[in-house]
Amino acid sequence: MEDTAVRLPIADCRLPIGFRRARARLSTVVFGWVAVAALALSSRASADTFREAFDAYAANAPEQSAALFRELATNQPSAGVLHNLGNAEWKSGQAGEAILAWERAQWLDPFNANARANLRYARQTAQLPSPQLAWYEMCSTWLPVNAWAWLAALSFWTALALVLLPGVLRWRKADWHQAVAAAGFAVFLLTIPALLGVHSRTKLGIIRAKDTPLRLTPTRDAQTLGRLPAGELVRLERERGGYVYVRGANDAAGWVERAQFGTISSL
Amino acid sequence: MTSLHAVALTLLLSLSAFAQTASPAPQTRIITQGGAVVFQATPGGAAPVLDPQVAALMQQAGVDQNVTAQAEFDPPVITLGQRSTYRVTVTAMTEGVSVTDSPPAPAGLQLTLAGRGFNYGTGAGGLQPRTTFNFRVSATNAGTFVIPPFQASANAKPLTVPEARLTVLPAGAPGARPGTGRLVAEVADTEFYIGQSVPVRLMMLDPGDNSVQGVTQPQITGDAFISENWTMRYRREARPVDGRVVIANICEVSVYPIKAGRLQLSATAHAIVRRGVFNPAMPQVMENVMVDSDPITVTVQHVPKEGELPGFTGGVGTFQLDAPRVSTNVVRAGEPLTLTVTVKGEGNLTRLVPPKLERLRGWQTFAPATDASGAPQIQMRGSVSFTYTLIPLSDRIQSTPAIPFSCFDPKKKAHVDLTIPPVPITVQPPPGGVLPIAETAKTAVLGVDDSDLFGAERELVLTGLMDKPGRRVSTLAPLQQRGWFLALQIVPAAVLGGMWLRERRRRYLAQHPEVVLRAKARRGVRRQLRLARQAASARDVGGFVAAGVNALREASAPRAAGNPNALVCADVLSALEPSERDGQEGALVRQLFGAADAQRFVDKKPDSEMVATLQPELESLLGKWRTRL
Repeated sequence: MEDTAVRLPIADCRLPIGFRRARARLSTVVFGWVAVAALALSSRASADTFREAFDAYAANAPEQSAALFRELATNQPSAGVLHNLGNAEWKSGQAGEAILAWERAQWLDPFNANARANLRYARQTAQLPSPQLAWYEMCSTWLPVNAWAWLAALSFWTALALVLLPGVLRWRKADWHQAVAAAGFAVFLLTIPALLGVHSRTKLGIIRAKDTPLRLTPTRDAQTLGRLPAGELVRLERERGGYVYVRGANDAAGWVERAQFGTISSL
Repeated sequence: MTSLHAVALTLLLSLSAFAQTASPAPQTRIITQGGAVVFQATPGGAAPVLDPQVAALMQQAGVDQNVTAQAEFDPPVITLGQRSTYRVTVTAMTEGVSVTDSPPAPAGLQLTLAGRGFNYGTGAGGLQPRTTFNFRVSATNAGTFVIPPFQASANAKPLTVPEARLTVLPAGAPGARPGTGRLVAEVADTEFYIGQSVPVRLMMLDPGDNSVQGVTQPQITGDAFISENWTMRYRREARPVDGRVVIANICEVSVYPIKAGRLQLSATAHAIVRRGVFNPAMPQVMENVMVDSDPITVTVQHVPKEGELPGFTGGVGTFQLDAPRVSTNVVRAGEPLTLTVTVKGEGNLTRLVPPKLERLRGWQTFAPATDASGAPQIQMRGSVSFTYTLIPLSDRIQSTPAIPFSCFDPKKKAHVDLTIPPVPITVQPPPGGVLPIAETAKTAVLGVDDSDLFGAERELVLTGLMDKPGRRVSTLAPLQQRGWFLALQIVPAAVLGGMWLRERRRRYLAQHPEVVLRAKARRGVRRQLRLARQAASARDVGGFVAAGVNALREASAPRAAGNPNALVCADVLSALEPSERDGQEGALVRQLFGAADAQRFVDKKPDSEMVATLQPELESLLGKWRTRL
């Protein structure tokens, strides 16, 4: 009898419904705890790496620090990590990578005064022109890039809700409904140029390598039209194979290798 | 008397002769009245009194208007391999003269334009403008070559250039004549940078008969050079040439290459040449003859961008910076002071551009003033000065600003830092504590209050690391380009849309209550029919009859406009079509209601066979009825 009981598969056991529900609940709780613990461990590991990179920078080992910050930025990008990566790259002599990292830090957090100051410092030292942005792109730098999308969505749906809901829910019409709806629509309209600017800025990138050749055609043996300095801000226009067609300052345009170019809005 | 003195004497004599012929007659006086010149006899035959300005104008030499053309080979007889010059001289202003670049040369003779020059000579009618074209001549074989007359133009009029004859003797044959002399251009090096000052030494070598007395109007021509229009270090000295000592007239001209690559430059000049056999008893005849040099090739490259330092304004040379000087070390806020910077050394001093001052917080600045001395003075002095006018706007300033400045040293092949260092000064508070140029200062430090004045003035430096990573994100892509964010917008759209549709439906149903009744009837029929089937399958005749009656009531309720439970057989029959009422359907209705009434009021159980008979008919009737609902 015991042998039979032991050989029976658990799934075949006709357990009471209450017991099965309790077991499902327990599984969910255990899974949740495991997930939280994994997240905590991951966070702890990231914090350790951050501290290690910080110490390496302080110990005048910028290459090691840059490698650690780069790993962190790839896995869990944040404005602070990108800013520190920029500093480490700059100290390693990688002006293009440094400017790219600071631009990304600014992309995530436009209120980051340190990244802004470092960009000014780097561009002055490397004698690079300041970025020339369109007015709507300038508007889009006033808030973090994702804030514009949230603001646009919230203002639009709030305005639409306040137009529809009083009729649907048979509320008594009030002036404040119309006022809030008008304000919502106004905010939404104001966010449109900024959203356009964010979209347009996703095409901006930085030349990573020094004296990057600007080619006439997207081929290895193409005629070189000129050379771009590391850290120059360019605008991506087309992509083809391993090359991208960019336009830089003074309207200089041509193909550069994809590896020698990095967009601000993607890692 | 030296040759130079003879030249000067000739010039003075000719000028005095012009002055005598142009002077007004004796016993006249010149008065200007409203711009008109009037000649008036002086009383008593006294010596005429001449207005000095008019006298000077009257003494100006006249210009010979007779336009002629000459052509010659210099020398006219050469040996094979020796160089000669084909020279065309037109007595007209250079702007109006047009001569072909390719004169009609016979076979075996090649002509290459070497330069074009202009000077004044003396002609029969006064000063004679002379435009000269020099062509380098090379012959491929011995013989006599004749360039036939050809057409040119001067002052838009046709002009015939006469023929010229060159005799080329076989190599080594005697009889070749010496030419006017030889102009040689030399540069110290062959590699230069764009913008670098290149001193070109020009030597006019005497042919050996001491006929070349001097050299004037040197010009450098080339592919891409800017040339100074003045010369330096003019001298005559004896130099050994081809085993003999000849007199060389030497001067230097600075040129500046403006293009990279292998460039050619050559020189032209006018040699003052004594013609005829020297005889102290005879007056010397001097001529200006244009001569040219062989081209020399130099390599010019760009100033390297690598290592370029802040404040580079194109200075190429070996420069040093003297300690900057300020006009005063004690100044009140709002009052100007000048900062003078002297750069000395070798290089393009005359074209050195002072570094511009960026807008400085705490200072009002002006564009720097360059040296007012002429370029020859700067070159001879070997230094150039820049003056900055600065106005301190606060008494917290303790020194003048450091001004970034750098140059490229071609000897070191590297950029050199020449940053103008700060000079300590004492700035006193403005009178009454108010800046006299408050408005101007406001524009200079727009939007910055005094507390920020010095913070912003600090040099840009690399900031430190951030001690916290900040909020992490999964990607740098903006929300508006992420799929989940766009999908999320469906939620409020669906909620609001659903609510709106529901309300619309509610209003429609409120306006059309029959739709509700029909829907309710359909639901009731379905429910009762299901109960009837269950009763039939359970052989429950009573239940079947009750469910069938209820189903008929539900189906007829919309037409009878009443509560289904309150309907009787007559109400249900009235809901049927007239043809159905008297037909099989009507009979079925009556039979079911009769059985139900018997069961209810008489307690008589329906016949058990009734189910099998009536169920198909009931379902058929209800199916027909449901289609009408």
